[in-house]
Amino acid sequence: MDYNVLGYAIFITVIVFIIVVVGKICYRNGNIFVAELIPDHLDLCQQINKSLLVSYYLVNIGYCAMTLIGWETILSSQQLVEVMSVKVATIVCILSILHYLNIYLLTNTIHKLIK
Amino acid sequence: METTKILIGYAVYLPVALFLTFYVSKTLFKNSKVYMLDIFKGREEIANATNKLFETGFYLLNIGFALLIMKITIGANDYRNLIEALGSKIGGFAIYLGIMLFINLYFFFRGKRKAKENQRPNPFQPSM
Repeated sequence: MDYNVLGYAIFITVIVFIIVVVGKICYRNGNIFVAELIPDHLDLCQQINKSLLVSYYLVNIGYCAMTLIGWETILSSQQLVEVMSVKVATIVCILSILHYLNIYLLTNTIHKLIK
Repeated sequence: METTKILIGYAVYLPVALFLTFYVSKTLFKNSKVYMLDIFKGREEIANATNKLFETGFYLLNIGFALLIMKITIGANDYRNLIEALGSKIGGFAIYLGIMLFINLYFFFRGKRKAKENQRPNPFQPSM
């Protein structure tokens, strides 16, 4: 059994799952922020949010697929677990940094809008 | 047979770390709704949405960190070494979680204070 192929399969499954779940949460909770950007045009705002979601999926899943090229050759199941954890952790940390950046921007704009 | 011991270590570490993260963020964000309501001047949808977004970020950050530090190396191949390594890993992660919790609390308090400061010069007017 080629450990690398197994690793790629698990990695892509896990990472796509995480990205889709996080994207769904952001989309659902981001609607209200986006709706404040252009008042009185709810459909337009929802459309903006939808295209944001799609671009988020494209960028993140595309980046994950691109990182597959840099994997070392995996020789044992222990190494598989270690390499997988580091790879998944890198992606999740990048996601969290992006996410906090988003929250910061959103709360700043929303505070200005509420005032 | 060193591999098996380390794999046992991973099998113990991962559930414990995930459970700790889950438990801490559940308690934190159940109690943070009040602050959010204060910060956003009682506008409940925005407060709930922000709370949910922060919770997601908290999960991502902590699970990412837990996976990042997962790699266990033990000198000798026995249960004593494994337990010592696990202890230091889980302890380190718990301390990290505690620090994150306090940072989060600090942000909540700061947001609340700022919201109060902003209210004082021009008293609260319900918007829209």
